[in-house]
Amino acid sequence: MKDWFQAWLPRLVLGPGFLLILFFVYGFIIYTGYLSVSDSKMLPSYGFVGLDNYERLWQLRHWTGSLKNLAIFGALYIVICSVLGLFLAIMLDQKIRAEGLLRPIYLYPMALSFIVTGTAWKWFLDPGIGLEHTMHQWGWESFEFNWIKSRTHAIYTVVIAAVWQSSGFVMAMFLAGLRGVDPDIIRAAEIDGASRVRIYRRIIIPLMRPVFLSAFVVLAHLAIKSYDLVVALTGGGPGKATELPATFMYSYTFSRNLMGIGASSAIIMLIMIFSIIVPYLYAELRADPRR
Amino acid sequence: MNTKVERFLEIDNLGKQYAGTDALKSVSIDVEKGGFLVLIGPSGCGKSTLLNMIAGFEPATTGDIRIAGRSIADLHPSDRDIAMVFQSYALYPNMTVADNIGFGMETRGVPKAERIKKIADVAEILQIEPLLKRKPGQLSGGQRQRVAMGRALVRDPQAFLFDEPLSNLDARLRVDMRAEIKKLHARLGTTIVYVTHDQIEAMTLATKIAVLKHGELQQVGTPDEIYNYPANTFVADFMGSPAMNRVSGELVKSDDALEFRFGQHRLKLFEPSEELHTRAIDNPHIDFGIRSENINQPSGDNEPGAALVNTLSLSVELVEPTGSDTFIATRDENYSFTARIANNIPAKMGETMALTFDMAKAHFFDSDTGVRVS
Amino acid sequence: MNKLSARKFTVWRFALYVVLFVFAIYYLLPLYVMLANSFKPLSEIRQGDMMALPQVWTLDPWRSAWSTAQIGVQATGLKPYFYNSISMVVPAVLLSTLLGALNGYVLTKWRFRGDGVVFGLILLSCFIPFQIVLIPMAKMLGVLGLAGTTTGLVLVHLVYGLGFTTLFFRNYYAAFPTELVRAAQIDGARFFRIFWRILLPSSGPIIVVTVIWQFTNIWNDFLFGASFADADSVPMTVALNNLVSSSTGVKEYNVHFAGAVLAALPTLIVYVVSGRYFVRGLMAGAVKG
Repeated sequence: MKDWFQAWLPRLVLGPGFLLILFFVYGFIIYTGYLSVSDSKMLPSYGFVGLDNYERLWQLRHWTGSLKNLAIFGALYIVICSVLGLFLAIMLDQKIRAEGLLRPIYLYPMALSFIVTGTAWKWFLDPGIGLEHTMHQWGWESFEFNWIKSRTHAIYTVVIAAVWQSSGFVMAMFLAGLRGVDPDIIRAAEIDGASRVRIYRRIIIPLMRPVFLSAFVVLAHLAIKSYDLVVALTGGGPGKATELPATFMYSYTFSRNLMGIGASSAIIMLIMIFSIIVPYLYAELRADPRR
Repeated sequence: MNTKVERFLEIDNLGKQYAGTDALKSVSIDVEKGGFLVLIGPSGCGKSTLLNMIAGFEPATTGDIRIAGRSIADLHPSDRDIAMVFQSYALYPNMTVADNIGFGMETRGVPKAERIKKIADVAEILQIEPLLKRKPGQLSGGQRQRVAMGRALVRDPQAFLFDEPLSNLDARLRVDMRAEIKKLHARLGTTIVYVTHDQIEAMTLATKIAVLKHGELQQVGTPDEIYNYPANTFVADFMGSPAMNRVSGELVKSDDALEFRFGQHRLKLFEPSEELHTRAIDNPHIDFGIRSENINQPSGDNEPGAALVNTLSLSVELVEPTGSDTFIATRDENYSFTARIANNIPAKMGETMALTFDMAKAHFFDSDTGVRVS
Repeated sequence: MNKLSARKFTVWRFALYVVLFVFAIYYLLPLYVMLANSFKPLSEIRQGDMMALPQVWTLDPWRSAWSTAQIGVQATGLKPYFYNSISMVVPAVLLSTLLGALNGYVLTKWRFRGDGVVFGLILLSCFIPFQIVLIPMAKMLGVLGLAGTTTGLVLVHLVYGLGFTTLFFRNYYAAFPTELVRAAQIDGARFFRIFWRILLPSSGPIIVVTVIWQFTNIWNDFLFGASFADADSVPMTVALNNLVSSSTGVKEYNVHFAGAVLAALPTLIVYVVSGRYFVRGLMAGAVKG
């Protein structure tokens, strides 16, 4: 009896946590999956309607617009964060005296809530009171920066705020990668007469491939999940100019009472994230010598 | 009766399968009380698996393990009355040396006063009293090794298990600790099972050596048996450094005697057995083996015992002085030998040198199976 | 090195420092603007430039943000919501850390058939878009009678933080020598004693990393708070958003900034005090999974 208990104890300890995840994550995914093919409106309802919700979803300008916004936002966010992150990491890796001071400054926005970031940038970018206003006060009367009020450019302000928040984190990832390069490789390249620029271009940056991959996965998944920042910065506006799938899902489910469509949009988001994350995790776990 | 005393630790047809492959194939080894069994083999041979099964960390698929006639195969590691010294020493990093040694007694609820006394006793034996209040992180490699042994010693178990305990020490310390383990064994007389891949450790420490390869037992015997009568070519190659010289050739009857011929060369056998005689007629193809220390420079005088000494003239490919001895590697046609000669014999690379083969120390193995023919 | 290249070298170093400090200003500017303007009277914000330090220093915006500002229908300031957040964050962090530690312990030191699948499912749960669970979670909290309560939010954060805490501890304990566990087994210690006496005392760094990670994430959460909280369980982030985006009356920017800094303060303090561990958490969450 006692031996049986000892043998099963580990599984009994792991059990509750695992069951919580099975139920609250995977059970809920299945439930939402079912709602996405049901006639749910304000409340969950279980009449099966096939793929109607998906068909209606793709006919909504609101949804296709939010996907287009996600494409613009995601692409710029990932590219700018990666380039800026790598650039800052390389700069900081030049035996900078003030590194201990600069690194935390670059990284602190990551500790803030997106709501705080949104509040700060919303005001900063507001032409009536923020940057534009200040420039006018300083005498630069023709200065204009009103993207946040523009239907075509508002999405770029989301990029600006999001890059401000996350690029320091990408910098830290690259810096860790740079510090992990075997110094003997660099010494060998120096003996071969390679210049600093060439060493970075031909040897070090190619070695950062895994970091690029990790950064891409993290940033892509953050981009798809982006919700708080848009809510705080633009509220999805002006008009629907900065709606993203995450805000679309929320408003269709809870404000417009079209839960079936909201659920189908959530399923599409899940598919987007999993198609990036699953291959990555699979490769990581397989390469992991501990397993 | 007598057999009971001899078989103190019995490993009985022990087998282990991982995902359909045999990690250990039905191994049987007995150790007498107070014996020192060394398990040796290349990495992946199953020696650590076997030790972990004795300790109780891995369940056996088949077979049984007994100590003093009592089966321990189904017991928890702490109930097997064993103690173990790990390769990494596995000292609890958050506890002092004294607490490390006393942790087992603590879990068994031994009163504090008794614990302190026993810790002090063990510390005295191992001369680690000044270290008792320190944490493992503050100790040197050799000191950690002693503490790990102290933790095992304090249990006063039926058997000690050692898992490559010296492999993390530098060469000098390893020799010292080896001697100390041997002295400790002589003093305590407790049965020991010891895993290593170092054949010198095996030879110096063991009363019994078990050689494993791919989960299969190759040979069990005293160090003398293993070294001088290796059961097959694997054991012959694995034990001894440099590896045993081996060449393929043929046994040929000449007059009353037997000769081993390979290429241009002939070596006369010394007092060949019946089996070798029969073999010369039935299946003359055979492998001949000889250790480097049995190939020497000629003594000069034509001794009466010349029958057991054959001299070949071989071209020297490489001369490697090691200080005490010099190794000569020879090569001609397709045959190469390594000889171990005194360091004052002049030898030059590229020259021809006469070397004598001590045929009393010759080994023969079946060319196909590698099994010893004697 | 000749003179010319020596000069080129210092010019290059100088440019490097300029670039680095310009970026430091870029990252600091929003925080500076928020702080500077939170000490100005509203009239000064309207006329003046946002970069300037206050001409008249005042603590009124802070007092207002903390205890009198209109949030939703009530003029309570952020104070009650700050306490809501605290009473949500503390139990959620402690529980998810403890469970994560036990999970990581089992997954590395008590391996069993199928543990790889279990870990894979737990790991994958870290990355789901939370929109996918909003509807069933709202329903389930109703069924459990936890709708709109702090306890309900604790449950939500526990469940959706468990994947990360398990990942952290699993990766940490995977590097913890299994021989130590075996030595303790021979010494007669069983499952829980090995955990308490051998693993946990050596887990200090990973506990700090996990607690900071969970604290930051849960404190900063907006989606769950906005979806599941009631009047008396609304967390700080949601309250701040209500304060900032309330459309009634005059926009009191200085109060908004004071409120934003108040909402950011706990995580900023944690970051300043133990930034090293914060970064390690970010890395552990990113590079491995």
